[in-house]
Amino acid sequence: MIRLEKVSSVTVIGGGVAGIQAALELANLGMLVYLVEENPSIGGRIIELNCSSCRLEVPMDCSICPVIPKIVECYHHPNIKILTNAEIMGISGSAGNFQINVLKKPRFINEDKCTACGACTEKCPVEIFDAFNMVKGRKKAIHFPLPQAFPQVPVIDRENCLHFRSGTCEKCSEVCPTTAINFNDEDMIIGVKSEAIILATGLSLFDPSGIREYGYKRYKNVITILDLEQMTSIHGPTGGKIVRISDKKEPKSIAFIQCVGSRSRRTNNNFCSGVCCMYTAKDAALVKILKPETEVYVFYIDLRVFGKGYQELFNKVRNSLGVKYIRGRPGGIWEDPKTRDLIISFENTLTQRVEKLRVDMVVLSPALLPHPNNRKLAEFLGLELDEHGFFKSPNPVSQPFDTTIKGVFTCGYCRGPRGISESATQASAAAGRVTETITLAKMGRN
Amino acid sequence: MKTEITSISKELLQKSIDAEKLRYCYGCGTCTASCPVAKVIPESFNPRGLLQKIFFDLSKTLAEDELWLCAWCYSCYERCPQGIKTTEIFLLTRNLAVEKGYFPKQPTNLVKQILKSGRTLEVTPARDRKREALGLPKIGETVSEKALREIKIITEKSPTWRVRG
Amino acid sequence: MNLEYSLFPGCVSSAREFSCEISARKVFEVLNVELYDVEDFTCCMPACLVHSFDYATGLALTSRNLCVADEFDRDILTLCVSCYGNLWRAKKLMSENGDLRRRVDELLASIGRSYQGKVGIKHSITALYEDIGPKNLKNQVSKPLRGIKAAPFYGCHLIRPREYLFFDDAEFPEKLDELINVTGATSVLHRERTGCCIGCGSFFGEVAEEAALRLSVDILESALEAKADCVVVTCPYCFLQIEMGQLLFKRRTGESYNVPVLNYTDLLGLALGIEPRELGMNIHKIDPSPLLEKIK
Repeated sequence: MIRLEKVSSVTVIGGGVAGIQAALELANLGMLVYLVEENPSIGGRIIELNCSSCRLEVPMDCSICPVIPKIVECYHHPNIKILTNAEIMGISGSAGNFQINVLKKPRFINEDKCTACGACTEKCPVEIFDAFNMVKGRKKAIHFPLPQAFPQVPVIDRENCLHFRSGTCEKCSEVCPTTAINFNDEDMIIGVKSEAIILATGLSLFDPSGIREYGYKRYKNVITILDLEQMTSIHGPTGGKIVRISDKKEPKSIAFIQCVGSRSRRTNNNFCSGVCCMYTAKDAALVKILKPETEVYVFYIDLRVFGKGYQELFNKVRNSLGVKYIRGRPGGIWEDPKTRDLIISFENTLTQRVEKLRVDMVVLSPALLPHPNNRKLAEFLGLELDEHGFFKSPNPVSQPFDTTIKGVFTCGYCRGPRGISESATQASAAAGRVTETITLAKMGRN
Repeated sequence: MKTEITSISKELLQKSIDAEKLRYCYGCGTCTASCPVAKVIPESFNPRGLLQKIFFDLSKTLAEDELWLCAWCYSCYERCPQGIKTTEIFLLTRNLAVEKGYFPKQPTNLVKQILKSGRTLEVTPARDRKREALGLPKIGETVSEKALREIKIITEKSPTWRVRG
Repeated sequence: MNLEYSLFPGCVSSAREFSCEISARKVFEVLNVELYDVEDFTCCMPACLVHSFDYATGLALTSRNLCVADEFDRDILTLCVSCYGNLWRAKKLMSENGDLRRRVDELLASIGRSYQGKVGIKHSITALYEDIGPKNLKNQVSKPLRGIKAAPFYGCHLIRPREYLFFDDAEFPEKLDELINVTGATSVLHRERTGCCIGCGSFFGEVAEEAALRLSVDILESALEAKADCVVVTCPYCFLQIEMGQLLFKRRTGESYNVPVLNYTDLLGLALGIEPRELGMNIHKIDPSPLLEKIK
């Protein structure tokens, strides 16, 4: 156990858009910030997405471009200490004096020595399942976390690596030109002391295989919108081309289905995820721009496109780009066993016609759920969650970024469905609250 | 007696509408998309529309033939994202229709047949002989006397049925 | 095998489609399963018809059958999936307390019966799968039906709703396919495998009959797309609908589909070496001879 001597001002739990923004704002004021992130690199959901703003020729607060510079800044900031591959094991204490126990799992690669040449990933003999790579579906036991991850330093999957399982392989280490691989890296338990905590745990995706009639995981050509985002990324498995997983051919028709698992009492997620109508429109537009002859359909129940410039963008998507919007939630999807095409049964509720549509590919927009870790954190802190697992504010109007425990604040999706720029905005607000709290405490006023 | 039976139907329907969340229907169309009847005769039956009509204008809907076209396959019941028990709601609405005096022709004939013979379909002496010729046990034109008697006793208490004879 | 059941044939088997009962009786006899006739059974009183008139009375009439079955120490065996689903629905509703249960208890008391809910409710398919098992069946197959492609038609009430039916999955069921493959025939994947024949809906007049005809045609098209030699059903009503659909279609358009419709027990019976006549296949309205020729 390593106990840290310098008392940090703030611990930010969650290294996504919101977490990074909050950390930077506080660090710039001279406070020492610990940024704890469960994945091997920071950036959260945003680095899983594709950059498309430029191709759409509209100013959109989409993904990578605004955030990458912040990620880099975070990394080099003297006042921010980043703990990646880290899990919170327990929190005790109270406002002004929290004690947070963090388990930092080893990466097995020395970040300072690694040059990201990739020789290790080529030589590794072990292939494991890559949930994140629908097209190939495999990655090596030693792998780069994500194409857009920063730092670009690989990580070893200890459970599957041959060296750890049977001591029989050191191929990666043998080819590494800078001897950056260190199999002796160990778990570290770090005790962090903090005056305040910001929770920015973000979101997780609903598993659409729960909506069985849509055949996700059963039908190869039914994918989620996140899978599509990766495919369209230049860094992705297909170098930017959209292909069917069954035969690697480019689809001539794609259908998007919104609200998969959300707004549903059946799945106990009877809330609206807020951002899907717009990101589906964005991706539908992207498909059309990449290959205009593709037939693109979007099945919706309602269209929630509030926000500056969104109705206009949506109109452009539907009218000029020619994406066909159909109001009707599909009843079910049947896969043609020979061609692996998908046949969607639906009612066009506006014309009251019951129809079937054959498409090459289906893209599902799943519900965006609060992160499952919220429950554990709520238990450690004695916080309240609402019935969906979002952190609760004592009062949504007067104290929106507070929680039911003093000294603990929230921002971003973990509070409720939010878009990217809103999450960043909230992060500033939470940082403001922390600054206020700490300053008042210093002045002897609480 | 009449009020008691009536109140069970009304009560269950109300319970269905509240407890089974009919008011949370947002007209997504999943039910109609899954419906085998709507697939083949969409001009005559649309469960989404019918559900909305039951909610918004119950008294007018009671007289509609559409109410009796649900084939009770449970596809909509399974798939409704809001967990609405469509099949049950149609059934309960039919109860109210019958109480109000709306008797669709064919179902009524079948029910009469049940009261007469204990079965929905008639077994004439000729049919029974055919059974015998094929090696099946004969079953008579009606079910057992005891069973018929029991059916009569149970249904006698339902004014709806007594009215139909 | 000392299996025995109280046979609940249902109205369609008893009065219209005899082939289903003939087939089931013969196959279970060969498998050494005893099927007992119960005198006091009546129509299952389907919810879509009888309960639609009066909920509590209908439920009491259905539960009455369950009370009769309780007199014997044997599970019920239905031949029709509508009976199967309806009896299970009644069992579920009767397990809930409240005004409805109280009302039904009163009605049952007036005929001197009291609902206990002791015996289980099985269907010929569920009994074959769960009580005998595909492996056992396969061991008894003496004439595997190689080369036959069968399109399974599960039947709505065998698999829906999942709320009280647990035999197989409602969206991607597999057990009937397994049972078909056990006979040596190959079960094919087709889009209407979990579809509806509108048997239950055909109570309701000419419009519904038109719907049933169109749906039968859809089912046949689906089977033909998958290159099936026959459609295998689990219910006399589905049997009736898909055969009648072909006859009506022929009457209207002059064209014949000529897709033989088989009860599952027909398929199993043939594989067990039973003669088609003993399975009642001679009274099928769509001639199964082309299929039988293929088997030889």
